[in-house]
Amino acid sequence: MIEIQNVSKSYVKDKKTIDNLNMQIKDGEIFGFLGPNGAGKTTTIKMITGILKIDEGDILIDGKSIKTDAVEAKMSFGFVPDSPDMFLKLKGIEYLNFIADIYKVPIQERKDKIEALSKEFGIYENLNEQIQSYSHGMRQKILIIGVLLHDPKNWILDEPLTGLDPKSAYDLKEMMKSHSKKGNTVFFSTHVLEVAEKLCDRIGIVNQGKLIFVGTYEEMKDKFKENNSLEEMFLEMTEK
Amino acid sequence: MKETLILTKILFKNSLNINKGKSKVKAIAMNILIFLAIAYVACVMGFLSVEIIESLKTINQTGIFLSLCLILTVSVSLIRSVISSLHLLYFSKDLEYLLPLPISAMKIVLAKFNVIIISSYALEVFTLAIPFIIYGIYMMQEVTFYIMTAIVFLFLPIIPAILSALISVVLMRFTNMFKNKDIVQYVTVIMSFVIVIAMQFFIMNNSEMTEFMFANKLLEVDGIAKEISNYVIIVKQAFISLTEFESIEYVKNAIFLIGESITIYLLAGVLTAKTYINSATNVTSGKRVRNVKLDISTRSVAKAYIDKERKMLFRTPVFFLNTVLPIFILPVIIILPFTNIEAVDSFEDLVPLITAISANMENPMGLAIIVCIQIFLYLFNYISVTSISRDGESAFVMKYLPIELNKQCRYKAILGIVLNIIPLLILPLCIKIIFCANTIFILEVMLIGFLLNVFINYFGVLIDVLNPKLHWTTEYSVVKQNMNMLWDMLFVLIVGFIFFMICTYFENVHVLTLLLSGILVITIVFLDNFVKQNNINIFKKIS
Repeated sequence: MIEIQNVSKSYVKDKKTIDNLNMQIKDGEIFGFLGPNGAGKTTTIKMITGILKIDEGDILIDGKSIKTDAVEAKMSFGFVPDSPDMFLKLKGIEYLNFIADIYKVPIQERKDKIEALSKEFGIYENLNEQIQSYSHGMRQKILIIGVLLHDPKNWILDEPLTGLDPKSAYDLKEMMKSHSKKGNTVFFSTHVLEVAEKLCDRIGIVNQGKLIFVGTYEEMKDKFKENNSLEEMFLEMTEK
Repeated sequence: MKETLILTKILFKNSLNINKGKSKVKAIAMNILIFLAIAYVACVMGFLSVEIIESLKTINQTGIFLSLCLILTVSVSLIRSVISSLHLLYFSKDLEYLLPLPISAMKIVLAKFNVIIISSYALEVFTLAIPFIIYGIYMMQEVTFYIMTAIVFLFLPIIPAILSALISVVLMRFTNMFKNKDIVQYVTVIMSFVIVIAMQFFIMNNSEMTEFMFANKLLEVDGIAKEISNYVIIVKQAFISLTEFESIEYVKNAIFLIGESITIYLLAGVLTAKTYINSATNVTSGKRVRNVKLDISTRSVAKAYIDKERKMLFRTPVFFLNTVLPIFILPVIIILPFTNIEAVDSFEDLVPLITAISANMENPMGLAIIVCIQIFLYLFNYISVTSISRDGESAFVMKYLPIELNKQCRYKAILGIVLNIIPLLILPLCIKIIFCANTIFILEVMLIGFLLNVFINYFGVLIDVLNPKLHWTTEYSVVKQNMNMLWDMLFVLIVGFIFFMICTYFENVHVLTLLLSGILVITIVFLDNFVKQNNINIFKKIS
C-alpha cells in the first residue's frame, strides 16, 4: 500500500509544483496516474521513490515512511523510471545480478527468474551484451525484469509502456494484473488513456500540482453524468 | 556563413555545459573564483616568463622563448584536438538532434571545426598570449609586435586543430575497427600518451646538435631559436612574423600563415563534409555477443556495488583514460627524466646522499616529506571526485536503491582508494629498499598515507555530490570541463599544507603517528556520520 499524505513540493519559492496531495493506493489494485505534461506526475513519483525531497507531508510505503525509514521503504517497492538509459556499460546479465545482489535474491530464484523473464520479454540472447547496445525498448525491458526479479509488493512504474513492442506491452499488462490479483499494488503513470481505461482499477488525475480526480472509471462517468470516453472527460477536466 | 556562425555559437555554449538554474549570487561568486584562478595561473606564467626571458637575454637568445612558446602551442593544440575532435565530431550527443535538421554537412563540419579552434584559443591564452605580452613589455617591443602576436594567436592553432580533426575523420572513414566508439577512444588516447612519452624520451636521448654547433648557434642572435623553429613550417612562419621587423619578411610570412590556415580550414571542411554524415551515423557502442551462457552469482551488497562502479569506470574509455591511467602514467612521466644513462652512471655519487637521507629520515619531518609526496601523487587521482558526475543523468538511481547514501559514498570512494596503490604501497616500499628504512617507520608512513587517502577520496565524493555535473553532452566534458576536479585539487593541497604544518610541531615520529591517526579516524567517522544524518540536503542536487 502506498499512502501519500498532504504532500507538497516547490521548486521555486511561492510556486507549488505539488500542492497538498492526498492519495491512497490500496493493496490489490492497479492505480493509473494521469495528467498533462508538467502536471506533476514525475515529481510525485520521484517523491514516492525518495529521489526528491518532500517539502511538506509524508509518503508511506507499506507503513514505512520514505522520509524517516527510507531504506526499509525502498526495499518494499520496485521502480521503473521513465528514461531507461542507465547502467549502459553493464551487460544485461550484470545489471540483473547487481539488482539481485542489492535486493538479496537467492541464487536459484534469480537464475530461474532471469531465464524465464528474459525469455518472455525476448532478450535472453542479448543478456551478455552491454546495455548501451540495446534499443530503447530492450532497455525498458531489462529495467522491468530488474523490478520483477526481487518481486516487491509495490510496483511503481513511470510511463512503463513507452517503447515496448506490442507483445511485450501485452505481457507487462498481464503481469500487472496478475501482480495486483495477488494482493499487491501497481502504481503507474501514463499518457495512454486507453491503457488506463482498460487496465486500472482506479485512476488519479493531477493537473497543475493538484489532484483533480481520484476514483474508478465508472465514478468518473457518474461525476460527468455523460457517456463520454475517458479521453473526452480527461480533456474537459484538465483544460478548465 | 550566418548559419555556421549561429551553429558554432550553439555548439560552443553546449560544449561548455554551463550549469543552468544557479542563483545570480552563486553565478557571480563562481565567475569571481574562476577569474581568480585564471589570474593566479596568469601571474605564475608571468613570473616564469620574466625569469626565462631575463636568463636568455644575457646570452642574446630571447628568441628561444618565442619559439618554445610557439612549439608548445602547436603541440598542445594538436594533442588536445585529437581527443576533442573525435568527441565533438562523432561521439557528441548533439548529433542525433543535428543530423535530422536541414543543415548541410559542410556547415555542421565547419561549426564543429570552429568549436575545436575556439577551445584551442582558451589554452593559447596561457601558452602564447600571456607570455608574448610579457615578452613585448619586457623587450620594449613596438605596436607591430602586438599586431603580429594577435595574428599569430588567431591563426597558429588552426592548422594543428584541423589536422587533428582530419586524423579522426580518416580513422572513422577508412578503418573498420574504429567504427566502435570504445575502441577508437582507447586507441587514440593511448596513442597520445605514447607520443608524449616517446617525445620526452627522444628529446632526452637524441640531441643531434654537437657542442661545437651549439656554441656557434649561441654566438648568433636568436640562433638556437631559429634552429628550433625550422622543425615546423607554421612555427617558422610565426617566428619570422614576430621577429624580423626590419625587412618585409615578417609581413610575407604572416600572409603565408593566414593563407595556409584559411585554405586548409576550407579544404578540410569540404573533404570532411563528403564523408561526415555517413561516418557519424555508423558509430556504434558496445559489442553484440550472442552467447546465452549466463554468469550468475551472489555477492554482498558492498561487493556488488563496488564491482558495478569498477565495470562502469573501466568500460568507459574516456573515464578510464582520464581518471585511472594518469595514476600510473604520470609517475612514469615524472620519473623518466631521472632514468637516463648519465644518471645511472653517477649512481655511485648518490651513495653519500642516500646515506645522509637514511640517517635523518626517521623523524616527523621525514614522515612529513614522504607523506607529502604521497599526497602529491593523490592529486592525479580523479576517480572519487567524478564518481557522481560520471553517472550523468542516471545518478538519481542511487536515491531509490535501498542502500544508505553514506554507504554508497563509501563504496564510490573505494575504487579511488585502492587505485592509489603507487603512492600507498609502492612508494613506501621503494623508500624501504633504497634507504633501508626502519620497518616500523615505513608502516607508520603507510598508515598515515592510507588514512589520508581514505579521507581525501571520501571528501572527493562529497565534493561531487554537492555540485555534480550531471547534464553533459559528451563524456569528455565530465573530466575536462569539471570545476570539481579543481576544488578537489585545492582541497588536497590544503590537506597537505595542514598536515605538513602539524608535523613541524612534533619531535617524536611515533607520537605524531598516533595523534594523526586518531585525528584522521575521528574526522572520517564524523564525516561519514554527518553525511548519514544530513543526506537529504547533501544529496538534493541529485534528482
